[in-house]
Amino acid sequence: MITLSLLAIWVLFVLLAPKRGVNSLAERVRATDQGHRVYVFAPPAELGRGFARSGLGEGIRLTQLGLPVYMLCLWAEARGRRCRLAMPPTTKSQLSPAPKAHPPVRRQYVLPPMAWRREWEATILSRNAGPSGSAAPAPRQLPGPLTIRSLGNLQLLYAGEDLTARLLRAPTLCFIWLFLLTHAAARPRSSVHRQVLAEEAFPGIDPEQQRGRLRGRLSDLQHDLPAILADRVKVDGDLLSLDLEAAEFDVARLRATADDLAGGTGLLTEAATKAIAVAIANYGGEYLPVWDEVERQTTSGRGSAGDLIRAVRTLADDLHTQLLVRLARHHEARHDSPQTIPLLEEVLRRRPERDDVAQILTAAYRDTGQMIRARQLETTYRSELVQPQRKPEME
Amino acid sequence: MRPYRGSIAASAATLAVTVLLSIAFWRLGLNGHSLAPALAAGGLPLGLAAGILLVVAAATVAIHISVTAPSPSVSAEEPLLAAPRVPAIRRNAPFIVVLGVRPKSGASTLACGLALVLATQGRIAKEPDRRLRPLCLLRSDDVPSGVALDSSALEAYFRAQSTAVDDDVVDLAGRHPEGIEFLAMGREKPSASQLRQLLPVLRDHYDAIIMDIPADDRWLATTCVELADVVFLMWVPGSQDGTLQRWVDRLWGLGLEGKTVLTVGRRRAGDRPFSKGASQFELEIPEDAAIRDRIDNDMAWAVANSSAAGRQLRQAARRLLPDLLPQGADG
Repeated sequence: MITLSLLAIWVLFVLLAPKRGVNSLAERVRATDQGHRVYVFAPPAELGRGFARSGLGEGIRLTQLGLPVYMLCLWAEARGRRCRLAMPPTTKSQLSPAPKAHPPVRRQYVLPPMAWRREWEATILSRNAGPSGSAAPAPRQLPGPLTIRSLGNLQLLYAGEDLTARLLRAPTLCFIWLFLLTHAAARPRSSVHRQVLAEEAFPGIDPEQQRGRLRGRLSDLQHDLPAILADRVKVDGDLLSLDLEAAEFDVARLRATADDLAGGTGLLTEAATKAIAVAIANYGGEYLPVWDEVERQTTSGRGSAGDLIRAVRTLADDLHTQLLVRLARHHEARHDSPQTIPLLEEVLRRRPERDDVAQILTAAYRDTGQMIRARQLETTYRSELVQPQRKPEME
Repeated sequence: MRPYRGSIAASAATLAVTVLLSIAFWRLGLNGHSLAPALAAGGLPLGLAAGILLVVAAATVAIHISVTAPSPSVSAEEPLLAAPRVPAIRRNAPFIVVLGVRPKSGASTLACGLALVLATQGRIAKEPDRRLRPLCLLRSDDVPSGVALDSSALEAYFRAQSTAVDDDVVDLAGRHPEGIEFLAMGREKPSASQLRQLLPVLRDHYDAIIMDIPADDRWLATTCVELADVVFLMWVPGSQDGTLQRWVDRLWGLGLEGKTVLTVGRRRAGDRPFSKGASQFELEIPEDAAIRDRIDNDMAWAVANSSAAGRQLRQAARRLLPDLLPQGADG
């Protein structure tokens, strides 16, 4: 009887008392319950396959933990298993992966706009004239023509007032006005058909609705825009245009200068040289940089108006390049290489494909004793000329 | 069987004691001892209780093994991990340095895993409709498969551009399908001044920059840890040659303990945890079959819910970069 009692005590000890530290039990059970652990303690001993061996393995685990802790572990492990099964295999965002990083498009290099300097000088002059002129009232000046600056920025000046903000405040009218302006820049004195403009301003809707909306917006012109801007829009039946006869438009002036003076290669008159220098200095940069924002607000870029803008941007850049080359040719004819070089460098920066300009620049470098630069330029253009010949061999 | 040796030995020892006591009672005639009548009187109820318990235990084991298949993924006891303690970084494009104290300490694995977590789960509050684009600067050998990368491109770039680093350096990075970009440092690792030039450019183009630096390049490592927003000082238990201690002394000496996370890789159940207060910030990455058995530096473990190491890393990443990793992204 005593032996039986001792054996019973031993069995109770083996089955009830945990044989390993259980001070972290709560933490382990919590982690297992949440699916972060598979087993609360160690996995069952691997004794082989089959019911009996698995049972023996579990029995050893039971011996280690004691029955109460063992059952608690089984409960937590079952809950954790269910929790893991409910989890997706991976956690990833539904969004598509980020695209490859690319260096930004280089900011266009532009010469400092002459308009700033003129304005500044005019301000200085008016300040200087202030005290002496205060005694006698200045004679009333006529407001002058509407000035449209579209290269490098957008500025509409009339009678000393900047009307740009008032135009930009009405996005659709701004779109219509700038579209007509661009059309006038691309094809002077030509008109736009009402339907074409309606399609551009209100893309993706029924043509009748487009025309109706355009009609409505055109009738708003006088209310929403300053009169000097509204009056520029001419409606002739189904044709619309922007009247720029009495306006100072920088693109038109650039085109006129280039048309008059960019031809030829020899010497220019002093007046022509000055006119070209002024046109070059007035070139403030890209045509209508504000357009993308206006288009995004109005049509979200769905129309083809952007193509027209890009065409005028290219045109303005071409005209500017022509004038740079022409002025460089003039200095070259005068054997004034120091004046020629910066102009040609600017042309090559904009148009690296101009081999003819590279040749003149190389000669100008040699004239001024810049042999290393001349050789570098020659090497660059020689290798660029050789490369296209090698390509077929590589293919 | 190893974890059970203690309990089997204890059970066997008590059985031996029981047998010896029985023999003693029987042979030495201890029937007159006061303990004996008590034991004899309690024999029946004790035996009954033991029998009932035996039946319950056997039934529990039988039901359990017939219902539940053993988990093949876990063959050893999982370590009990402390919750990650890491600093919270709230700046744009953080620069995270993973400094492997010794080779093969898992630094590049951690760097790639962190990059994948950011690329797949991260987002910026002001731009919620796009994923993050992290950059990983690694040694050439550690770049995962599937990334087209010229391992000597950055080296050649630095040789050509001796004075300045330009935006075009991002063209050298190889892209992983998940949106992570990789740059290999090459054999000649960037100098400290080149790194100082490179970092602002990378910050312009990436949402996070993660760099795995070998500790053997002491000057580069020192520059990196100074520039870093957080430093994971990575080591694996078992390497007791004093390198970790030297790096701890160096970082603490530089006053960088406030951004250094003492990181243990491949932590097993039997390894001793850090002593309390050893470091302000600590992270334990457990030994994980998903990492051990991966092929070609695959990073999927980092986002797999079945991976304990991945879960721990994601938890640490969420605490580290609360602005880039919204709460509740992990399941």
